[in-house]
Amino acid sequence: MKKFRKILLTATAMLLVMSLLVACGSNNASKESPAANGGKTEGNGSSSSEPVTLNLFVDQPWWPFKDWSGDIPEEITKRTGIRLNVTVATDEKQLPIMLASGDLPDLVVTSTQYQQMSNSEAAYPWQELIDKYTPDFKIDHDRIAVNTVSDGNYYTIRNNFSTAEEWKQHEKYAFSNGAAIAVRSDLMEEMGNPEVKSLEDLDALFGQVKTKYPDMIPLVLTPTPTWAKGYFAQNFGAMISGLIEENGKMLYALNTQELKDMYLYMNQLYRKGYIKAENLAYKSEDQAKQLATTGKAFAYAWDTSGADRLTAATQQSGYSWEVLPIKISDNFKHERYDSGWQGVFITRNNKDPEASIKLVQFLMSDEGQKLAMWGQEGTDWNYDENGNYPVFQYNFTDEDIRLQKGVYYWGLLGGSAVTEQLAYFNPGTQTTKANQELSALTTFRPEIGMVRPDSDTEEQVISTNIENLIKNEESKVLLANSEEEAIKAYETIVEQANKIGMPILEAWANEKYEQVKELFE
Amino acid sequence: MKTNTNDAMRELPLNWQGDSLGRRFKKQIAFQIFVWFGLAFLLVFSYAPMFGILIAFKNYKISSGISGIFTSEWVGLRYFRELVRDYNFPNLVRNTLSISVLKLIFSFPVPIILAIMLTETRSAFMKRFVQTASYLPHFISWVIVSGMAYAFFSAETGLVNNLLISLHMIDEPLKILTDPNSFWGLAVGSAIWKEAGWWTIIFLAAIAGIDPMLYEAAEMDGAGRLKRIWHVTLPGMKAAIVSVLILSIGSILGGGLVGSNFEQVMLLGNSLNNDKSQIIQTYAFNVGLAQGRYAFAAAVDLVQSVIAVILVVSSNAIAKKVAGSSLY
Repeated sequence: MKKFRKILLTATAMLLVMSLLVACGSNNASKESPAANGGKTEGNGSSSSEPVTLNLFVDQPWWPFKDWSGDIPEEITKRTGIRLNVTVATDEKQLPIMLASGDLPDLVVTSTQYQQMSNSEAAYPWQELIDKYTPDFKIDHDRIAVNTVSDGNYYTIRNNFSTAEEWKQHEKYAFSNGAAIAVRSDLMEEMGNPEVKSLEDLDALFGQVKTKYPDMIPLVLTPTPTWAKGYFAQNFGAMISGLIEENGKMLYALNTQELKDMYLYMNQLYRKGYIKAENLAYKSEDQAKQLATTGKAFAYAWDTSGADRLTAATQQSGYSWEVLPIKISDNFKHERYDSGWQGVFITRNNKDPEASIKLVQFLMSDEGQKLAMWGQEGTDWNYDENGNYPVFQYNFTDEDIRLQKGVYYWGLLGGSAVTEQLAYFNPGTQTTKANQELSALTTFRPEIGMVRPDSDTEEQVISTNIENLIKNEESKVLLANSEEEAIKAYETIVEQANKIGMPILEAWANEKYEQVKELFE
Repeated sequence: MKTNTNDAMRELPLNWQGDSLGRRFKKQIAFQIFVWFGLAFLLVFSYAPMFGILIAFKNYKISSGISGIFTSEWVGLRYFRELVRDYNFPNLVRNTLSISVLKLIFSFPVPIILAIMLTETRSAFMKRFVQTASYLPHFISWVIVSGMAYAFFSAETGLVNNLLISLHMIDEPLKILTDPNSFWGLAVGSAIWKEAGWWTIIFLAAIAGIDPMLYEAAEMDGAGRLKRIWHVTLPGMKAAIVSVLILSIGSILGGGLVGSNFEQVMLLGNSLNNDKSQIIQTYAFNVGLAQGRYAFAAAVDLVQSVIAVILVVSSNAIAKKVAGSSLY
């Protein structure tokens, strides 16, 4: 009996040790991937036409496509021989953790971690791969300029960017989008369609809603700061955060009178009961949108496509939405500093850099952009009679159809701003009307967006700390019980920002701005 | 039960006095294996990572990998100074301590009282029903609990506010989710709701282990119900109470018995109540992971660990003095 027990114990112990070793070793074993040679041979003896499968991590928790399915992804696979195995981030911290542990998949697409991913340890510089595998892949100078980081390399080309010439070329059909406020047009009609030509008019409109429909919330803000405050920021000529240029000098947005005025205006909207405090606590878009779709909200601060999207979403309830006039103040200013939104990074762990750069080349090509963003020519869309913009055979803004076809969102991996905006050109819709209005008032200044500190620098820490400060403290300004209290709260934020190092950041920005200007000239 | 244990004890090679070291080791080989595995586990997963604390004092970049822990330059107390100078620091410490201590004070007695009440309940159905209903929330994740909190307490759409307003008990909705001053109550209350029933199981087991003869004897001596609880039930539960207390003190900064400080703040904290909701853990998480400042986050966590050690040592000393029993 004793002997048996001894044997049993020793066997169990051995088993434990072995399982430990196996667990440690399994990682290395799987590293040699079958796709290492361009993926042309998958395993033993499979045919050479087998598509290469690359793992893609999408750093956008809201990304609606959870896998590579639908007509469009299949068509992309057919034309490129590449299939993607998609993982969507569960939250915005997942990629930073993956970066930290070095556990990156073949491809990463991100907007917020652009700086962190742009380094030669995490990803391949594109130029290196282009020189080696795809010398015919030509990228224009502006795109390279806005994506080049301080080591002189560019690790991605971000989408949603177009050069001044491209905008010019399509100026009649591709419009810039931006922040807007959608209001219930059925109720506007009931109130006799009051005109909104100034901020005072807007104030009066909300007042009218409050008296006439006491159960409704006059204005609901979507949680994304750009859209929540954007409409007011534009009409006060303010930028909501970050570095801006004023009279040739760079300064932080908090230091501008325009931003202060915007906060004070929004505060008085709150004090009059037009905005609810709880609104500022919402973390997901759905929480806010729900108020609009269930008939509790009269106005919804979102983007220029908001009215059409809400009308589509509330069709069954019989609500209809329209956008408020974009410019309702003489101080109106809309400058776009952005130099793109998200980009595809080919990581150092990539098992097939050649296939990866080819995929990117396809997605950025004219053919690839249209296929991924619009669908298949002939069946999904056709050009209008003059060949200026696509006319769709399906409802382009319908999320369910997008999901089913796998169209539009994959186009955001490489699509330009113009390609994207052409799709939204639909004469007679609220979106097109608003975009047209906004575009006429927009100035593009990507060089200002280039004045951005590199990751792991003191300036970047300061910049993020100030952004966090604004995020944490702005509700004290917005929800102050009197104007004096609001002013005081605003000044406290500026004071804290100065302590965090706002002057250091501004000094750095002015120096950097000079260098950037040279790059652009 | 007792005889079984004795039998087992007799088989153990406990009688090794006078044996040589090698012989003793050989006799105990099976036990040694268990111990060494345990020690190896502790060394690998608890002690070895402690070297990482070094980065709290170094200009460490994650891209330099593990070797970077040793090779990156020393920066002394730079991150600690930065933390202490942060405008949020006093709030963070106050909130961390307050939420943890409040949870210990209020959540600890609840399962004990609930267990006693359940044993005293005569209706078996009622007993079973309450017990099941009270421990079910333990299985609901905090994400869902926070969703439920919105459904119940939202100022605009919440059930509770709508009900109170329609009953004319209040004019203005209660801002339970957004008022900073209600966050501590919300955190403690929801944690008790979620976990109290679960811990009741342990105390019910302790009560079940009390010899019924003691109750009969007490009854013969003329003790009423309350007296029986006081003189028989509570002393009978003492061992369980003390061990659970010690467990919760050990994890006091995580929320003690009911835990979940971190989850609650992540999910129920928002930009309106963050004056009272931000705690050191969430701050470290946001700074460390969202901004990728691991060295700074390590410094923040080290500060929290120091606070935790002070708390554990002092509460242990108090427990030793008051209850006569302690962690060490």
